Amino acid sequence: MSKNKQAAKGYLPLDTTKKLKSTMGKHYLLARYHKYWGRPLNKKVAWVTSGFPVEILRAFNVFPVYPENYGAVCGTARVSTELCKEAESAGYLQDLCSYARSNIGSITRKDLAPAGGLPKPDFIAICNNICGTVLKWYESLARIYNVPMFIIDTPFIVDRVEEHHVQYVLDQFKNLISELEQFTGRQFDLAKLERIISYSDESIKLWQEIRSLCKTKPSPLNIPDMFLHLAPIVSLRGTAEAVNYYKTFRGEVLTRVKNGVAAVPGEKYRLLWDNIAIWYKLFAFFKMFTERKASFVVDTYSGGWAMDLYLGNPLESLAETYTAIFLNRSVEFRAQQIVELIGEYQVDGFVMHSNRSCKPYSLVQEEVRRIVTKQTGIPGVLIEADMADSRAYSEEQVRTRVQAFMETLEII
Amino acid sequence: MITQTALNRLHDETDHLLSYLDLSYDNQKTFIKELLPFSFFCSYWPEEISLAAGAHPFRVFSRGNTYSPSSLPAYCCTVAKGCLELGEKLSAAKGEQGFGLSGFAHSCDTMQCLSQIWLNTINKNTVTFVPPINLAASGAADYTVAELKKVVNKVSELRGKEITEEDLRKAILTSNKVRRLVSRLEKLRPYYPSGFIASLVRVAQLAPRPEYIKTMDKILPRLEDIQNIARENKIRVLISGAVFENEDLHNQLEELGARVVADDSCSGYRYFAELTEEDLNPFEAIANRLIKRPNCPCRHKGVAERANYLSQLVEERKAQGVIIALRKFCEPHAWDSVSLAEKFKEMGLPVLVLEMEGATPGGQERTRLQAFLESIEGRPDNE
Repeated sequence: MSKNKQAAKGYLPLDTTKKLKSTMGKHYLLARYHKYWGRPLNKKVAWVTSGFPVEILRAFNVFPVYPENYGAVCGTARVSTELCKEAESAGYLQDLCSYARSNIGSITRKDLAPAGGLPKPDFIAICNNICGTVLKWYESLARIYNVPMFIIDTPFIVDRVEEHHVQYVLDQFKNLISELEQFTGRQFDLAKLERIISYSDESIKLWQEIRSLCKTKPSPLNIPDMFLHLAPIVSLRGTAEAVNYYKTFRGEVLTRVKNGVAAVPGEKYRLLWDNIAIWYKLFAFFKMFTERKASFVVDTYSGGWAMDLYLGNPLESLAETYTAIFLNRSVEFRAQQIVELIGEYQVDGFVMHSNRSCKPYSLVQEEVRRIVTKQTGIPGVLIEADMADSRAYSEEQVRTRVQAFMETLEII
Repeated sequence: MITQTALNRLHDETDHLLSYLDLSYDNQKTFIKELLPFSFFCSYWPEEISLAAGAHPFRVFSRGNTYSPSSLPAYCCTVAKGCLELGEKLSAAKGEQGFGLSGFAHSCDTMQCLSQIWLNTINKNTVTFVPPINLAASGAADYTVAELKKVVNKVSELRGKEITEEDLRKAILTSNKVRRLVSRLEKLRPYYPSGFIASLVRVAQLAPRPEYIKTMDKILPRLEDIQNIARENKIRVLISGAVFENEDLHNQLEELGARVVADDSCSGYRYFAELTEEDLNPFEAIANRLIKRPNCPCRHKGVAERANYLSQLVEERKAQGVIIALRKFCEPHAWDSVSLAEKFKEMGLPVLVLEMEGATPGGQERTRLQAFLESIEGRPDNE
């Protein structure tokens, strides 16, 4: 690990990052050359939303790629804004989700698109458990590519998951399976699905454990680590590769815990993050905090993939798990989740990214902030920006708010 | 041509009815002393449930201008912000009971969030109905029935009175009467000023339904006596969009020489389209109608469904142009505008995508409307 890297990030880099690059690099390489190997192996490529029960697709030997993950890649590579402009010139307004605009822009601007863009889909698969935007985004993709669109409709959970919610999702799973049998020409194999679910389960448990290790004082990780190392659990969920990856990652984090190594040396403040990362400013943004010895020890976003897989028969388990995802839940649920995390991780304050591109996450944040602060007495601040489109980021405004928030913490 | 005197006479007769358009909800309380108000927001809220609860369903239309409540960020549409403004004002003045019961139908991400904020800060007596997003999904009808039963139980609980199937059947009859009347009104769009018809359609979501039925039963036959009405030489347009909280766009179009012959907005005919079957189990009947009616962009019946529906409407009403009126920050309609505009262009139909901050077109929007209408006027087939 070089001191230069640490200076640039403002905190301790991870060795596992090398493995992350090779793992995700391989995934995108396979995606890029899918046109050469996909057909001989009868492996269809699907564009899939991050909350889709991908295990069912994998059971049909489908190769899934994730436009949302790709949006994060575009953001980190700082090409999103140009790709967004390309989508805007085709009529998609600037107020629409920047992942979606980046993705649509990357279809025509292969020259700008990281890894040459995503491979042309054979079909697309969407689950609305994360937002309503994905439905509209994927409808557009289905029109652009003239490919089938498979939808899993998970009703918004106002209170608690009920029998009719699960039954409805289950009915759709059964229909999806029959459609996939026709589309892929493969028979559904329950044993294979169970095997894939067990990989998902193992990855999720490892991810949960890694997150839990950050309860240690000082925290072995700072939240940008979690954002980056989230990629395999999104894109490779349900594979042995993801399990192996997270075993390596856990090993390094455990070593840090054992040796009392802090991600942010001299950790003084422990913070919680709410919402998707600001990808194009990932390190520059968090450096404003590390400079003040503040470490983000937990977040709600990467917790989206730390969901418990419910027990029961495989399809029922998937139906319940994917319906209960936190973004599909009430304000009360989300506030309580943050209240609990604050207690478990001994958090001193929380920062909410008011993300113009993600309305279901962001529009209730002020209400969540009010409830959380009322219950815990812990201060929180909202920072307005965008996850991928840098035009929505005002450097001075953000810096001023961060400074004011940190001064509040110092007084407390 | 219909004379101003004749229009004034019609206005006199509809005067009381149209007074329900007044945006002050104090008025609602004044007008309807004996009924519990049941505020609702989205066109997918099944008003039969409100009626069966013995309440007065009225749709919350904001003032349609800009307002910035502290609970919502700047990048939120004025529809949600405006509703919250009304909610805050009324709850400050009258406490939580100001809105009686409130019913949300889950639709876009913004309304999902508004329903949560509303429940937490404005009205604890808020019920959320979550219809399917994919209306063509396997199991959608069964799910909707189960969800409707849950909602009815919740409303019964809040009302302190059980809503029976018989109550729902009676409510269906009332709602269907209104729908039939509005369907007849729809056919009159070419003959009467756009704002006039639009206001009579909108007030059907605000006025006590029995009163609406009584008044419209009386005046509709006269409105339908169109033998003596000369057709005006107006440019026939279809407008599509989310909610129009007032008739300012319709009125401006009239001023500029156009007539709205079809109104595909969430507050327009889509709310009334299709009847609820009267001899079926009421839950199944309501569910069937919600699935059958023309869908809004938040719901899915197939990627070409909305474009096909609107193309058909264009043909039926002989529209010469289409205006897609987008509300700033309204994602579902903004997404659809791209494919719809392409479709209409393919049909050789002039189309204008007009983004507006609120419900009232400003100077710049007026100029764009004017230029658009002039371009239609100048087309060879319109000379």
